[in-house]
Amino acid sequence: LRMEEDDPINRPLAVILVAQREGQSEETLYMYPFTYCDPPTPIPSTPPINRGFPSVPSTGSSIGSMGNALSVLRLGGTSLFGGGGTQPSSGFLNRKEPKEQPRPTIHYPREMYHAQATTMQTTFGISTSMLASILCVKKACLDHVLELKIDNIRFAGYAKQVTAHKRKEDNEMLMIMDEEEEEEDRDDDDEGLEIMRRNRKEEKNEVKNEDDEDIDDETTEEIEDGKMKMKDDDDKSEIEEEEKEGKRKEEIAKISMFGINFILPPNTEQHVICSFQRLAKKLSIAINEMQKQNNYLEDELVVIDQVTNEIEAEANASKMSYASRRPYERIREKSLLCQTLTKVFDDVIETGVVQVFIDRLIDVSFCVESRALRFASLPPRSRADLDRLVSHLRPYHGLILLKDVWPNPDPNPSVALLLKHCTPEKSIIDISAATGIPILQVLLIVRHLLLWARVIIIYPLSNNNVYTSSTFTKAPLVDPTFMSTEWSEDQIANALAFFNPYATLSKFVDPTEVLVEQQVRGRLMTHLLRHQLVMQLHRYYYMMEPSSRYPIGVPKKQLPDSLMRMIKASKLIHFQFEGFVADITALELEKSSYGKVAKKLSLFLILAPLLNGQHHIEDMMYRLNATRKTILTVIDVYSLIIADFLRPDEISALSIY
Amino acid sequence: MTPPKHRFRPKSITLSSVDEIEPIDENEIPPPCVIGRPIRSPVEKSEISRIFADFLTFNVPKLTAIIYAEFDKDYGPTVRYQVPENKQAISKETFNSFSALILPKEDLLNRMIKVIFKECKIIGHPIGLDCPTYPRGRHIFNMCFIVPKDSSADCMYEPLVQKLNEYLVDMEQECFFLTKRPEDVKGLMNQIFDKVNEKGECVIKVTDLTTMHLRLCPAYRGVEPPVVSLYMVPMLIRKIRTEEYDRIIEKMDVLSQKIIPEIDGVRCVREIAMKVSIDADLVLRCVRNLIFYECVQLVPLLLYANTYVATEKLHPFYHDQTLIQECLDFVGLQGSEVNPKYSDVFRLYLSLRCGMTLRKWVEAYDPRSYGVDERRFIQFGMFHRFLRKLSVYPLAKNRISCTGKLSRACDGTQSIEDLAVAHSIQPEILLELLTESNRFEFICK
Repeated sequence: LRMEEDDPINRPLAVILVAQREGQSEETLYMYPFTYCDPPTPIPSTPPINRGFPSVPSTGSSIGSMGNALSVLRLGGTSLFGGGGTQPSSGFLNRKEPKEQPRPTIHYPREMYHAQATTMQTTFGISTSMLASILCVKKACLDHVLELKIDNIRFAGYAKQVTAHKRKEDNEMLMIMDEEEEEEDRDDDDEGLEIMRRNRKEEKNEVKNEDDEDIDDETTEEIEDGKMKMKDDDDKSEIEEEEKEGKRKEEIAKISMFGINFILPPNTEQHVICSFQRLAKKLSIAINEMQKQNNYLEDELVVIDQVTNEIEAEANASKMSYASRRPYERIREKSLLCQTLTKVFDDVIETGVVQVFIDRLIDVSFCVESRALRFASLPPRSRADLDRLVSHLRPYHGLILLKDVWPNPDPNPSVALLLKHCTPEKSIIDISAATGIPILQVLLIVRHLLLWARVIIIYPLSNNNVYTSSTFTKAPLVDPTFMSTEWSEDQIANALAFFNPYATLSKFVDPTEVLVEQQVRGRLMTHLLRHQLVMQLHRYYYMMEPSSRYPIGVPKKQLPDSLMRMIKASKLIHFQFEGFVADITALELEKSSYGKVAKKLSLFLILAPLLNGQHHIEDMMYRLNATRKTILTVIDVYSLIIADFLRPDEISALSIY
Repeated sequence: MTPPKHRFRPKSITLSSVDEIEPIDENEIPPPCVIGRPIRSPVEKSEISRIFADFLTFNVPKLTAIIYAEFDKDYGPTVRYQVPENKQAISKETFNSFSALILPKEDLLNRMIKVIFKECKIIGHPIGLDCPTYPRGRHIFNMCFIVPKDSSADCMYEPLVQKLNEYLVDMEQECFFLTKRPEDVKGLMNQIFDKVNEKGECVIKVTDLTTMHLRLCPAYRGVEPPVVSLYMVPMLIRKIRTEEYDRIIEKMDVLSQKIIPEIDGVRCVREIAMKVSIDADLVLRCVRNLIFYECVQLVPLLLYANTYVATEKLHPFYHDQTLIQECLDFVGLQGSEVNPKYSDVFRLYLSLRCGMTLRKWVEAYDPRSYGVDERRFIQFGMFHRFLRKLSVYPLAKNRISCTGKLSRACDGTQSIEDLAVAHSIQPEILLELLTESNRFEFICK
C-alpha cells in the first residue's frame, strides 16, 4: 500500500446548508467551497444514451473506462436508435408509421432549474435551487441520516426538524427572579441592537444623500430631476424593505427544517460516508439546540437574508448576475454559522479532527478516522478496523503518542494524567500502576485515544524485542511537513538497513555504547515505530508432529507411571501427542533428575493449549506469570514437537496492512 | 471539477505489494491453475455464479421489489405498479418524502438517482417524454429497483436500471407501451423480478419488435488491476472445462486467444511476449485486462535469488484440512517415492525467514529429501499468500546532494526490480553494482 499525496477518494468535495421555511420553497443557504460560474454555464444538452450495454465485456476494451460503466454509457453513441445494435430499434426505424400520430420524444432540459432569483449553477451540474429541493426532505424523513447518489456525486448528511425557539414568556411560571433580570438585560440588549441598526441605516441614508447632493451640484437641472425621482424611489424602496423585513422576521420564525450535507466523490468508502453522516448529525443537533435556546438558526437566517437581499439589489442595479457578486463569500463574512461550517470543512480536509463551537457555546468535536490517520501519515483505517484493533488490545501493550500537544483545553483529568505517564517503555499495566487509574479505565482511555487517532499501539520497548522493516511502503522516508526534523533521512535509512533482515532492540541500542548514544538510538527507535517504518516480530509456537528428519529417539526406560498419569490427566494435549510427550519426557529423565523433569512437564502441560500459533511468548509470559527464561527452557526441552514461527502480531498486522 | 476517472477505488500497487493485495473475502479467490494443472475447481457459491468468461458474481443482493412510478395528472407522483404486489415495497410516507427524487424536476431527468434511506436503496433513472397526446404534454416515469441496504454490491444494478428505462422509452415510442398497456407492464415487471433474482439475467420478448436483454455485470470487487511488470508471472485462476475450451477461447479477442494458451505459471510476461512474438507492451495490457476480469493472477517470478518469508496468513493453514490435503497433493515432487508429510511441509513454510535467499534455504533444508518440489511449494505459498516475496529497496546515502539520476530514484520507494526494469538491466547485476559502489543502504520489505 502506498499512500497518495492526498487520498482523493475519501476527501469531501463540499458542505451544503439547506433549509426550508414553512410555505416557501427550499433554499440552499450556504455552500463551501463554491466555484462561481459566471456567466452561468448552460446545461450541456445530455447526449442521447447508447443503450447497447456490453453485457459481455470484451477483453480488448479499456480497463479504466470499464470501471465507470455509467459514464461510458453517457458518452458512448450519438444516436438513440443507432447504438448497441439491438434489434427493435432498427426494426422500429424501418417500420412504416402512420404519420399523423405524433411520437413521444425524450425531454432534455434546456435550462437549469431556476426557482429563485438567487439560483446559481454549481460545478456538480446541479443548480443550488435543485440541490435545495432534493436535500430538503419531507417531514416523514426528518431526523434521519440521508444518503443520495446522483450519477457520480454522493451526498451524505442529516436532515433535522427545527424546534421552535422557546421564548421565555412561555415559561413564565417557571422563571425565577434572576432569569427575569437576565431577560430584562436581554431585552435591553435587543433594544440597543435595534437602535444601533436604525442608526446605521440613518447613517447610510445620510451618506447617500450627501453623495447625491454632491453630484447634484455639478449636474444640470434635467438630470437633477431624474435624480430626485430616483431618490424618491430609493426612499420608497427603503421603506418597503423595512416593512418587508418586519414581515420576514415573522415568516422566518417558522422555519421548518434544515439540513447539513457533504458532497463526496462517487467511490467513497461506506465507513467514510457513515462518519460524515455522523458529523452532520452532531452539527445539526447542536445547531437545533442553540435554536431552541437562543433562536440561533433564525437569527442566522436573518443575517443571511440581509446579505442575500443586498447582493440581489446590487446585482439588479448593476445588471450583473447574482453569482458575479460572490454571494457565499459575503455571507461567510457576516454569518457565524457559515463561518463555523467553513471551519468544519477545512478541518476535515486538513486534519480530520473537527473542533468547533456552535454559537460560541456548544462544543462539537468529531474525528473522521481515515482523514485523521492520513494527517498523521499513517495508513487510513475504518472505525471497524479500529474496533478490531481494540479487541486485540492486552494489558501488556504500550502506547506511542502521535502528537505531543493535546488540543482540548479541558480534558478529563485521568486522560491528562495518563498522557503524562505515557512513554514507549511502559505497558498499560505500568501506566495503571503509575497513575493509580484502574486498568479497565486505562483501556477505555486508550480506546478513546485510538478512535481519535492520537496513539498507536506497540509492544513496549524491551531489549528482547525483535524488529524488522515494516511492509508499509512510505514515501518519502522523511515527510518534511509532518515528521520531526530531528532525524535526517540518512539516519533513518541507516537504522532501517540495520533491521535488515531483523535484529533485537538490544543489538540496535548496543549497551556497550556511551549512554548518550544509547538514548539517541532509543529515541530513533520510537520514531521508527511511530511512523511504522519498522514492525515487531513475535515468536509464536505450534505443536507439531516431529519432523521426519529429526525423529524422537527410543527411551531406554519407560516413563514412570506418576508422570504418565500427569500427562493423561491433564487432557490439555491432543491424544496424538501424548506418546511423543511421554517419549521426550522419558529421554529427558535419562539426563536430569526426576524433580526437575516433573516440574518442566507440569509447566509444559499448562503451556500446551497456548502452543497453537495464536499466542506469542510475551503473551504466554503474561498469562502464566512466568519469566521468558522458564518458558524458553520448557520449549527447548520439547522442541522436537514444537515449531516456532516469527511473525508480526495482530496489532501490527492490523495497523500496517 | 473534473469528474473522477474511476468509479471504483483505485489502489496504487507497487510490484512488491502485488502479493499482498488483500482479498475482500478469502473464499472468493478462485483456485490457481499452476503449470497447466488446476488445483481446485471453482466452488459454486450461489445460483448466480458462473464459470469463466461469464464471470463470477458473488454477494449480489436480491431485489426486494421493482416499482413503476409516474407523474399522474390528477394525483401527482404515484407508484403505479409494483412487484411483488402483495408486499408494500416502500411506505407511502417514504415515497412521498422522496417523490422529488424519484420523479424529479426536469433538471435531474435522465440521470441515475440512488436514494439510500433506512433499510432500502432505491435505484432509479427518471425519464420524461414529450408528446402532445399526453394529458400534460409530458409523461414522466421511473422504473426503480429496490434492494436491501446491507450490501454494497448493489451498484451492479445501476446500469441495469438505466438500460431498462431506456428500453421502456423505446417501447413507449413504438406502441405507447407504458401508457396504453398496463397489464403488459405489470407482466413485464413480474418477469424481470423473477428472472433477475433467479439467474441474474433475463431475455424477455415484450413486443414484436423489442426483446429485452438484461444481465447483471459484476463490479469486479472494485479493485483496479495492479501495474504489471514484465517480470511478473501470470497464473490462470479459472478452470476452463476442456469441452468448452475452444468455444471460450473463440469468444475472446485475438490477443487473448494467443496469450492464454501460453500462460503456464512459469513464464513471465516478457517470455510470453517473446514466445508469441508480440510487442511486450501489448501483452502487458492484455494480461492486465485478464487480471481485471479475474482470469489470471500475478505471482512474482520464482528466482532462487529471491527471499521468501512466511506471513501470518499461514496460520489458518494449521487447521484447514482441505487446504492441507490440496497442498500435499500439489507440492509433491513428481517421480519421487516419498510423499510429503504435513508436519514437514508446515515446518518448511515456517522456516522461510528473512535474510535467507531461496538458494541458501534449499541448501540448508533440502526440501527434496522430504519429497517436496520447492518450486511448487513456493508457488502454492505465494498463491495462498502464506508467503511474501521480499524486495530490496535501495536508498542512496546523502540523496539530497546526489545528482545522478539513479541515486535520486533510490528514495526507498522503488524496489530493485522496478529500477532494473527502468534501466533495462538484470536485477542481480544492478544490486551487485549498487552494493559495490558503497553509496547505498538496502532495506528489505
